[in-house]
Formats: sequence, C-alpha cells, structure tokens
Amino acid sequence: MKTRYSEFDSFYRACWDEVYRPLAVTLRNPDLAAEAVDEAMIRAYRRWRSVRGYHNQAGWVYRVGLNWAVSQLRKTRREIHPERPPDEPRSDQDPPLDLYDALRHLDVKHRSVVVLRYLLDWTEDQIAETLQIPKGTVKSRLNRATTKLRKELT
Amino acid sequence: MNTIEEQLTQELQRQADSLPATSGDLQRVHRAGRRRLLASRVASTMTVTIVAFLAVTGAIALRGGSSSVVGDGGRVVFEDGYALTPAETTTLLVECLQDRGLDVTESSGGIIYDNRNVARSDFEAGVSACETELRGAGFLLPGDNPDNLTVLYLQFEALAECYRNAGIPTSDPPTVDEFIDARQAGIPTWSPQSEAIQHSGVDATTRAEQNCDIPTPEQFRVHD
Repeated sequence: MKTRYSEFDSFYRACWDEVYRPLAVTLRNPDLAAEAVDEAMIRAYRRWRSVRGYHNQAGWVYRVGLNWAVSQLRKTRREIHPERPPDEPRSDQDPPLDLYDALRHLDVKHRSVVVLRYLLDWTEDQIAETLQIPKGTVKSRLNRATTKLRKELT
Repeated sequence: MNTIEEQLTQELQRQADSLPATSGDLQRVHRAGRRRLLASRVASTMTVTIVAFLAVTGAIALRGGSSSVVGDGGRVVFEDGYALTPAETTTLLVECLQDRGLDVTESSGGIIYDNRNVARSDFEAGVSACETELRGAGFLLPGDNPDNLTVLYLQFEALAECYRNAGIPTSDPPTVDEFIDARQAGIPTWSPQSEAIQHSGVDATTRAEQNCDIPTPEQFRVHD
C-alpha cells in the first residue's frame, strides 16, 4: 500500500538531481545548492498534501531552494563582510571575458532566469510561474542578461 | 559562430554535467520535516491522554500504551498519514514538550520529568496539545489504532473505578465505539483522569492512583 510518505520519498528521489544541478549552476556553489534542495524538500515534506498537487513540483522546489540560498548568502555576507563594498563595475577598457567568467558577473536573479531558459529550456511562462514573477520581468531579465553577456564577451 | 543563446545552452550544460554525482539525505529530510511539523502550533484541546504513570524516585514516567501494534516492525500502515511507532511517538512528544518549555527527557522508551520542576497538570496539558499537533500534522499515533484505543478505554474504566473508590466522582463512560470514534477524530471525549484532576486536584488524583493497582496495557490484551 502506498502511503503519503512513500509517495514523498519517490518524489524526492526522482526530483532531487533535477533540481540540484540547475540550482548549483545558478548559485555557482554545489554545496550550498545541495543544502538548499534539502531545505526546500523539508518544506515540501511538511506540506506534502499541497505540494503533491502542484503540476510543477520541481519548479516549486527550485524556487524555494533558491530563495532559501539567497537569504543564507545575504546573512553570511552580513556576518563575514559587514562593510563589504559593492562589486566594482567593469569598464569598457577591460579585456573580454569568456562565457564562464561572464556568467559569474550576472547576479543570481538574472542567472536564475538564464539557467531556467537555456539549461532547462523552459518557456517564459513556465519561468514566470516558477519564480512567481510577471512574464514581463522574465523577458526583461533575459534581455538584460544576454545583452550584458554579449557586451562582456566582446 | 553560434548565437549567444546557443553558447549559453552549451556552457550551462557543461557546468551542470561537470558537477559531481551526489544525492540528498532523505532520512535527514524526514527527521527535520517531522521536527518542524511540531514547531507549527495548532489549537490545543482539553483531551488528556495519560495511559499509565510510574513513580520513579521523585520523577514520573509516562509510558506509551501500545507495546504491540499491528504491522511490520511495530508500525501500522494507513492509506494516508505517516504511522508513528511508539518509539518515534515518544521522541516527537519529547521534542514538542521541550519546545513548549517543559523540562522533560526521553528515557527507556518513556518520557521522564522531575515533578519538582514540572507540574503534572502542565505535563498532561502539554502531552495533550502535542498529540493534537501530531495528528494535525498528519501523523497517526500508535494510540489511534482501534485495538490500542480499546485497551485505553479499559484502562480508563479501571481508573474511573479507582477514583470512585477514593471518593472522586467521574461521569458515565460512552460506549467503546463512541470513545474510539471520538479519539480518532480528535474530538474531546471521556477522560476520567482529567475529570478527577478537575474535581479534586492533582495531588488527590495522584494519591488515588497510587492506592490502586491499575492494569498495564499488556494485561488487557488478548493473546492468540
């Protein structure tokens, strides 16, 4: 007989890697991503009766994990670098970057839409629904991110 | 030359593929999930569930009344809801009671507290509220099993007789089926112990119990 929690276990096993890899690429931190996926999974476990009905459960876990990781990063930065100055903007005289480095210069909110769009091949509607932001915001973030990347690659 | 979009897909895929193979910790998720479920408070009821008390050198231990539960490994399997074993129930109750500020510890499968630091009425109210929380979170307690509830009913009958002999009145019991239905639905129902405490106070109730030979759950069970 399949119980509520054996269903969760099946979901966990099937979904973990599917969320972990894009999240690790988004955060550029595999350890934090693994922790974030489990943190999101704990929340899914707590409200499994609701989450089991979502049509994009992996997307929900991705968003919750991303939000958790970002809040952790903010907290850590405050603790370690209470007076950390903002990153210096790149100037036109700087040499071009490769794509790997250029991606590093995107902030997490832009990198997340780029990862969902170009790694997972999700539509703008799917991204908007997953991140719970308007579709127009997805479009503008994608446009801004690709424009910035193009600029930094040349 | 590929477009920026094509380059992005290739680079992101390369980064994703280069990640080491790993998997999460499902058992940790289960443990943390259960703990956090307990942290979400739900309204407590006045139902008091005390199965048996054992006075031990100034401390009182609560022992679960479910030494034999149907199913593999002591776990009852229900269609919807996680059925807790008696040991898991004890662990979760201890965590919940501690979250409520009660100084209790788990020991030998029971919950122990020092009655110099914790009032029995606070302990009983805490156990009741924590059981309600567990049920509200979708857990099935060993005591929710009809066989165990029947044993609890019989224990309550014995307790009621014990109180009456000590001059503490209790109300007439419901039928065993009514009792089981109410308990499984989380509706407050017959509890001679809470009635006795309400009528005569904790000290008189405890004295009455100490003068009675209250049967253990095992003594009520029918063995094949």
